[in-house]
Amino acid sequence: MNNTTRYARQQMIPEYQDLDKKLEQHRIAIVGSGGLGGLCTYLLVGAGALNINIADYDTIDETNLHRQILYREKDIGETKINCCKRELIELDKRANIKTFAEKITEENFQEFTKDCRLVLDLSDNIETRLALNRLCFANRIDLIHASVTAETALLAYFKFSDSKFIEEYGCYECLAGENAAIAKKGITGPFASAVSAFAANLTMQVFTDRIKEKIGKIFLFDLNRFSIRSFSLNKSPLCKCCGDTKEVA
Amino acid sequence: MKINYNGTTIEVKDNLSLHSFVTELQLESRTIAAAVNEEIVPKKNWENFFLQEGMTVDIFNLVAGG
Repeated sequence: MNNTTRYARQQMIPEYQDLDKKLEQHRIAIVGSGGLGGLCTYLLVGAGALNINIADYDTIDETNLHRQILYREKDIGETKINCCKRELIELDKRANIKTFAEKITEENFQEFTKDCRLVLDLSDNIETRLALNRLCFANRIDLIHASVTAETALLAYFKFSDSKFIEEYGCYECLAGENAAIAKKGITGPFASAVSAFAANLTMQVFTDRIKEKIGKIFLFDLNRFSIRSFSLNKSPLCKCCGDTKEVA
Repeated sequence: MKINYNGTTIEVKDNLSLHSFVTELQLESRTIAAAVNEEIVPKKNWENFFLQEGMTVDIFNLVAGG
């Protein structure tokens, strides 16, 4: 199978003629291989993103199966990261997948993001999200945040590699606050999959420079209203992550 | 004064900060984000951000699931 055949249908889209080549030139770091991360990573590998670092330290249980579509009943008890890698390699045997079966912290962040210009935060808890925001900001690595629950989802691109972006739009902590607390809520397969697809699309747009109108905005998905609204991000000078009193470098 | 809050026009008292507005609504500030006229107001700025007649206020839940 050659690349012209494999990517023929996406190459018919003028803006995506070189998408597979552009994706293949980069390594992407993805946190989470569950309801968001599993499908999002699968879609990206399918589109040509063959170099992926993915982190997850969870194992598969029965409550995952209604939404985490890469996994099967036979996978229960297995690590998500190994099953995820298996599915990605089955999709494209050329895929170079580095797995991190551990929590991403200050200690392993450099190794996790080595050669990466973009981190996708597709994790499932606010503590990880605040930590990744700080780590990406401190290391000036761009961050895509996607999060989902029952009928609401959020999607944003934080271009931390651009000092002008930081100056104007700040970071996730400006929006959420350093003490943000979010209880675990219900989630469905269709909505998690839809948001996974949007996160994958946003990633494709980042690597094809079709991101201009998404810069500095957070997108709010409301499944009840079937609406997607956008709000402009704003930096807080008081933010402990990126503000004038920041605690991180 | 009148403001638009999450799609509904409501009457609020004058000289009301966003922080006080959230408090009066008995919302848990750690779990939400707020935008005024489609601009996110960073949480640390809520106390010094005062609502004005005709403003559109959107408050939505933060989500963290995946």
